[in-house]
Amino acid sequence: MSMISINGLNLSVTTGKTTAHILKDVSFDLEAGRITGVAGASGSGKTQTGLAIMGLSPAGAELSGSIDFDGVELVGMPAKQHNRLRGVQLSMVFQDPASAFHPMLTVGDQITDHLRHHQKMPKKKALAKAVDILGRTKVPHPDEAIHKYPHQFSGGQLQRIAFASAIICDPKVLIADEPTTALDVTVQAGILRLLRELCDDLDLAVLLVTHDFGVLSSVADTIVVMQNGVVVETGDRETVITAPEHEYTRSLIESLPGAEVAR
Amino acid sequence: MTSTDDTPTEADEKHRSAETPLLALDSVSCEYKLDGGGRFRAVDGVSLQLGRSEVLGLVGESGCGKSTLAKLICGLEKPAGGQISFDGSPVRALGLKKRDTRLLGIQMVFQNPYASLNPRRRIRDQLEDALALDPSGRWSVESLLDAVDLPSDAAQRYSHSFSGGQRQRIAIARALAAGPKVLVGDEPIASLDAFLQARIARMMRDLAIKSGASMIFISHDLSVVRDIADRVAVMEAGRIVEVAPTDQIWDSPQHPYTTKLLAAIPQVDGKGIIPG
Repeated sequence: MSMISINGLNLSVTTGKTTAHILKDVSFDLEAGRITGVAGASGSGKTQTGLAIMGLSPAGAELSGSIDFDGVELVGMPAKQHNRLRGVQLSMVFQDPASAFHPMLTVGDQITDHLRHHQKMPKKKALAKAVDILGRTKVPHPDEAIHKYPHQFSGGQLQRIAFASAIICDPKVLIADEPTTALDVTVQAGILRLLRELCDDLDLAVLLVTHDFGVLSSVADTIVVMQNGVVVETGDRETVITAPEHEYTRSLIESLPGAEVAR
Repeated sequence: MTSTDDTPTEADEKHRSAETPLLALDSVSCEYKLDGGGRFRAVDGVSLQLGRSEVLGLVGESGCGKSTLAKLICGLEKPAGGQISFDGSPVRALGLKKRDTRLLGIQMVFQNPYASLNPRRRIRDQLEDALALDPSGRWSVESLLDAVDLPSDAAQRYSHSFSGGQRQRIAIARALAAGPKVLVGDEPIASLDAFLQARIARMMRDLAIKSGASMIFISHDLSVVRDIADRVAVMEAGRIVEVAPTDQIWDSPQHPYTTKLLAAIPQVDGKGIIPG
């Protein structure tokens, strides 16, 4: 039984008189304890798929089709109901950790905000849990870290804090939108290892959005390739990378500079 | 560049580049003042040579001083010590005076094309500004746009109507228009899609070499550097720890830091191995 089952999802955004069809008949599943990677060039709709699950589609967007989350239909769900899921059962990590945090609030306040809001946990207890979770995502000196501000951390550490914030309410689904794109290769490896650990230990259904096949090759279990809002190929990691069926997937992999190892 | 320089034999080229490098850095360092006193040494005693028609890749993690080094080469930053010479003349930091015309042979392509192009001027005007610096008249606006694979009607448009990859190609065209002998690319592909990165990087290499220029290509993406560089310099904490031909860096890295950087690149093999 899949945690999230996307079926025939369509998304069109109307601005003024023009309507853009962002997603066309997208279907794939997210399983608990597995990382599903979505690959594609910019504008292929991979981020919008993640945002549709979170209920964060842009203004003027029209969704049709179905996103089944553990028996609950997310398409057409009233905003209030979606708010109760977002941050609790559905969580997200964004590309740029520096702009994902409020610069003038301490890290401790920010990563416990949703915990206190949704679970009505008292502040002291929430901060104690934050220290615990920050230790789990391997942020150095977690008890000091909660009193610091975002600018006092490096990009890699901030991304670890963002992951801590995402898992603090024990979610079932984690959407990671290009979590390592803004980071260095050496830091990237650490974040990928963290993502893998969290997925395995917490039995999370992870949607990993990235344009980097190197990243997908390291951590994804299943790969979905998108082009212009259409899913062109779905398959397990090794098959998609070593024996891509679709011409577009092949061209993406061959365009990579290090791809001669794959051939 | 004189006309004889355009058609050198390979032996000539090698002979001369061995004698006088096009660009030479001699134990250059650079310091920044820190808040509350103290100094941070961003570049620490770097010596490097760049030959003619050579592509040098400069790699290292964020904060290691790659960009500061690029700024020093272009004269955008004042060195705290050491010397930089370009084609026999010293590179001095840009001040209030007009820039020495000899130094116009160093041109830079910046990381973020959204910030480096002027949003209020047409592409044609921006390219013409750069063309005016090159007396040889090798390029025209049309031939530049053609060289970077953009339609000729792009000249009439403003930068906002282009995508990130297209803007970066315009920035490359603008740098080429000035007829550089050294093209410095400071993470020119970092803001682009993975699939575009390799294409734009190869385009830069081809254009630089074809127009007789050398290139310094700064990137933290080692796989792209491997693809286009002749030699690679590895930088760690302000120092160059290793310089060697690209193949040698990959096949037998000498410094442990190089090994660490290489090991961190995820392989596209579908095996599910997290590097490092």
